[in-house]
Order: sequence, then structure tokens, then C-alpha cells
Amino acid sequence: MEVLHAISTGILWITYFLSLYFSVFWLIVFLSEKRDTRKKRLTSYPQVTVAIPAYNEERCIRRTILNLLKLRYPVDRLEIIVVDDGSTDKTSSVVKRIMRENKGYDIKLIEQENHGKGTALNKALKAAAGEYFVCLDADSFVKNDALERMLPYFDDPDVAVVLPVLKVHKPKNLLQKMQWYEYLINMFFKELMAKLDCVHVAPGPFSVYRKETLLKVGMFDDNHNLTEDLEMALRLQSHNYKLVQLLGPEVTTIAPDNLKELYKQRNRWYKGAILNSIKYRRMMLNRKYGDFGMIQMPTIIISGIIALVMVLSIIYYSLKPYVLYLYNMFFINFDFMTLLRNMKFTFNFLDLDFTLFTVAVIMICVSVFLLKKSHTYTKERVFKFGKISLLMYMMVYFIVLGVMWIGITFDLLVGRKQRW
Amino acid sequence: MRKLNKQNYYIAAILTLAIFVLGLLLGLVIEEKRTRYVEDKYEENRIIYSSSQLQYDFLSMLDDKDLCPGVYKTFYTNVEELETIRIKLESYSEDAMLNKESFELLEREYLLQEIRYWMLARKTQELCKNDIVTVLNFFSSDSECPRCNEQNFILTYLKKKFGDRLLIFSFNCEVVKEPMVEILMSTYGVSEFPALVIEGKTFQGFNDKEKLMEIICSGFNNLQPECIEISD
Repeated sequence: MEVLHAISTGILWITYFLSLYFSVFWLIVFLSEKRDTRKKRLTSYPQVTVAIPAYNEERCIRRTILNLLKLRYPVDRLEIIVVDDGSTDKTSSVVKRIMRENKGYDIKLIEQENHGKGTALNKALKAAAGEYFVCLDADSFVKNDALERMLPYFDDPDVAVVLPVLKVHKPKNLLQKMQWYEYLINMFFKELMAKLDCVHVAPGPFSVYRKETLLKVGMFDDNHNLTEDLEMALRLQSHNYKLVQLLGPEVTTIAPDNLKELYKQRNRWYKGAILNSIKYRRMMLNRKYGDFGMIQMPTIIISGIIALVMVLSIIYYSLKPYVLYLYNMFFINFDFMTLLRNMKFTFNFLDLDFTLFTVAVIMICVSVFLLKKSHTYTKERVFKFGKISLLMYMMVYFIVLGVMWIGITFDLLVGRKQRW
Repeated sequence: MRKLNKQNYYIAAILTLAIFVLGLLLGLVIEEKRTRYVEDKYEENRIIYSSSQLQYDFLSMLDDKDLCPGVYKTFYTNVEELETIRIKLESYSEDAMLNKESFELLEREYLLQEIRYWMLARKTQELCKNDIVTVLNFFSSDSECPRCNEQNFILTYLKKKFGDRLLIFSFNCEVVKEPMVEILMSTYGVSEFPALVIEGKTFQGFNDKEKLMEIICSGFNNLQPECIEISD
């Protein structure tokens, strides 16, 4: 018991240390990096292909395509390819109708049997005429100036992909509002990471790739990869290409509105992140890959462990006294009325665990600072969705994600047994 | 070879360590404050004890029974206060990083104080013929005595039930080897934990609520309202 206690305390303190270390690290990067505020202008209009992989999207696809047609970009320079990934609904016929209604635009439809997103993207990539290749998920919407503002960043030949700021599309319920904050902070972090060439994922909605580079590193992973977007980003990193994250051009995407859907999404994301990091483990702590190898690769793995340990310890330490209390109640036949009598609530400042308290206070200060900054840089108001949802995001959301990590860890462990 | 800004890593490590050291130092400052707090409380309690002692002496000198209830009330409040601080002291001592020894000494002081109170309680009882029950509770830490925790919980419960008619003196026998406690233990034949001495009779091992109620109720001279159910 004593040994077990010592080990668990050790793990806890290492977790506190690491999470504080990461926060401090990025805070230093934020404070020390110079920001390039010059806006780049587009001088010519290269040919661009937008690929929309769609599986059973009859409800969304119309809005997505029509929204795309509003892009401020010459019509003859824009090609749209919808790949119907063996939908069982009317996705194809909806797309065909849109094609008939908008004869002036270059819209193509490729139909395939259900092979997954990677294969769908590769089909589009092979057919693409554009110099730049854009992925767009069917449930995402682009601001009309996005392309114009993103393409100028390809002036550096090492740049393989430019990413827009991704926000939650019109969040309605609390869960979506909490994700709104999560996305915003993530975007702010990703822009920071991009400064150290540390971006590890090019999300599905409106990532603009240089097609030549995509073909050079060998198309998307179509081998049923859970997160082909993350795999591609890691591959580009392993070839030392640059991934640029911007905070101006805006894309919104529909976030899961219930816990079950969120769990499915996160299960896929996090599992994909872990499995793909293992695939590219040669970059892990490898100085040849610079900051990406030294800080970002370990972060992908460790952040999961941190989330897991934190949530387990919170559950353990907050439930333990109650479980013990309940257990003891058996001995007095649950006569809680007697216990409630003469109950005294006394708070003594001296009773706090001060070492942990200090670390926690500093962590919260850093988080609040970064929260504020991420709103400033994405030009959003902090209380856009009220104080309650923000508070819930800060106090509850990480527990929700942590609980999901428990499920994902379980899946990974069980999955491993099956494979080997 | 890609860009690697080593400076960031070092600064982050130094800052993180600094924050932890700061936390640790704060923890130590608090530990000092805790020691001082318990010491001050002890001093306070010692003076109050002297007062109780004087009150008793005065009482036995005058032999005026009318003063009994008032004297007992102060006495009871002091014992309660002592117990609260003792429990606090126990948890402080567990958390202690550097001052383990001074906490142990303090715990010993509190132990002795408990015994003093117990003896005074007996004397007062003889003089005033209060209808109260005194319990000596010998216990040890969780790892050595898994059922002590449960026993203490039941005692706390009974304390709430009987209020000032039940006096419990607790001795944590693990922390300090105090000769006086050892004398008490051998006098009452205590060899294992938990052990309770109720009105002079020893009960070793865990006792459930019903059993304890029975024992305590039989300790009173008159029938208590809480005991009516049992006597039926």
C-alpha cells in the first residue's frame, strides 16, 4: 500500500510538472516571438481545386457548395470536385441538381463505392486541375475572402499547407458553446505552434495544400487511417515542409451537439493521433526535427496521459471521502439526522495544501491569460456566449474530455490485444 | 537540421522549477504557521485547563454541589476544543515535510493533556455525581488497524447523539510511545487496536453501534432518552 501510494503521488507530481512546463513553454514562445502583422496580398490567381468528400451528406451538401460558390475568386480559376463516397442517400442527385443549376461554375462529381475519406480525397487529387488543392468537409462553411487571404502565404517554396482559423458554426447548446471556446484556444495555440513549425494536424475543413507537394510526398493515406489529415501533417513534417496557421481567414464547422457524437469524434481524433504518432515515432525527441520533434511529438502522447491522470485523480480524490463516508454510514444505519445535528462548518486557511495550491493558482492565471489572448487574436469577445458557458468550459469541459480519454485508453489497450 | 531554440526549453524548465520551489517554500511557511497555531492553541488550552483545575479545587473546598453544572459545562467545552485541535494536528502531522519532530512533540503534549482532562473528569464525577459516561479510545493508524477508522466514525456519531453526557478521550498510540499511555494500556489490559475502556471496563477489537449503545447505556445511572429503545 505504501509503495503504491508513493508511486501514485509521484505520477501525480510529474503530471503537474509536465502540464505546467508545457504551459510555461508556450507562454515564453508567445512572449518572445515577433509577430508579423503585414498583410500579404494576392498578385495573381492560380488555378485552385476544392475537393469535398461526402458520405451521406444530402442535408448539408447543398449549403456547403452554394457557400463555396460565393468565394471571392475568379470563376474560371476555381474547380470544385465532390466525391460521393458510396452514399446510401441522395447525396449524388443533390449534387447533380446543383451542377445543373450552376452551369457557369466548374463543378464535378466523382462517385465511388464506400472506401473512406482518404481514397475519396486521392480520387479528387488525381482528377484535380488546380495548382492548389483544398480539402473541405461537407459540414463546413468558408468566409468568402478566405482563399484570397490564404494563397499569398505560398510565397515560401517550403510551405506545403496553409490553414485557416476554424470556429464552431453557430453554436446552439452548451456542449457546442464549450467546443467554441476549445476551438478558439486551439487555433491560437496552433498559430503559436506554427511559429516553431510545430503544427501537427491540417484539419478537414478548408486546408489549402500545394498540389505538387502532396504528390511528391505521396497522396493521402487511404489505408483506413482514422485521421488522414493528421497523418498528412505528420508526413509533411517528416519531410521538413512548413505548415502555416493563420488567424484571419475564417472557416466554420458544425460541432457535435451531443455527448455520444462528441465521443465518437474524439475517439477517432485521439486514437488517430496516438496511432499516427507511433507510426512516425522516429521523429519523437529527435533533434533533427527541431522543435517539432522535441516538444510537439511528445506533447501529442503526453497530453493524453495528462488528461487521463488528471481526471482519474480528480475523480478519485473528490469521490473518496464520500465513498468512505457512505461506507461508514452502514455502521450507524444511515442515521444522518444525528450527524447533521451540531454540524459545524469551519474553514481554516491553514488547512489548504499550499504547494499544490500555488501550482494550481499559477496554472489558472496562465490559462486565463491565454484565453484572453486567444480571443484578442481571433477578434472575438470573451463573453460572446455568456459567462456560464465560459465557466463550464473552464471547470467542466476538461473533465468531459478526460472521461473520454478513459474510454479511448481502454479501446487502445483492448485493440492492441486483438492485433498482437 | 531544423531550427531548435534550446533557450526556450531551458527557460521553461527553470521557470517551472521556480514555481514548484515557490510552492514548496510556501508549503514550508504554512507548516511553520501550522506549528505556531497548534502551539498557541495548546498554550491557550493549558491555561483553560488550569482554570478547570482551579474550579474543581474550589468546588471540593466549598463542597457546594450547586456549582457543579457550571463547572462541568466549561470543562466539557474545553475537552471538545482539545479534541478538535487534536484531529487537526493529526492531519498536519501527516502532511509535514520538515517539522515532523515538532509535530510529534506537540502530539505528545496533546496526549498528556487528554489524560489530565480524563483524570479531572473522574474526580469531578466523583464529587458532583454527574450522570455521564467516559470512554478511553485507544487507536492506531489505518495501515496497522484497518477498523479503527470505522470505530472512530461510530464514536463520533455516538458523541453527536449523547452530546455532553458522553466524554471521549482518544489516544493515537502509533505516533508516540508515551509511558503514561503504556501504563494506562497495561492497567486496563489493552493489547490490540481498536480498544475502548468504557467506565473502567475494557472492550478490545471492533464494536458495532448496537453493542456500543448497549454498553454506554448501561454506564448511565438513570435511563437516558436515547436508551429507551434498547431497554425495551
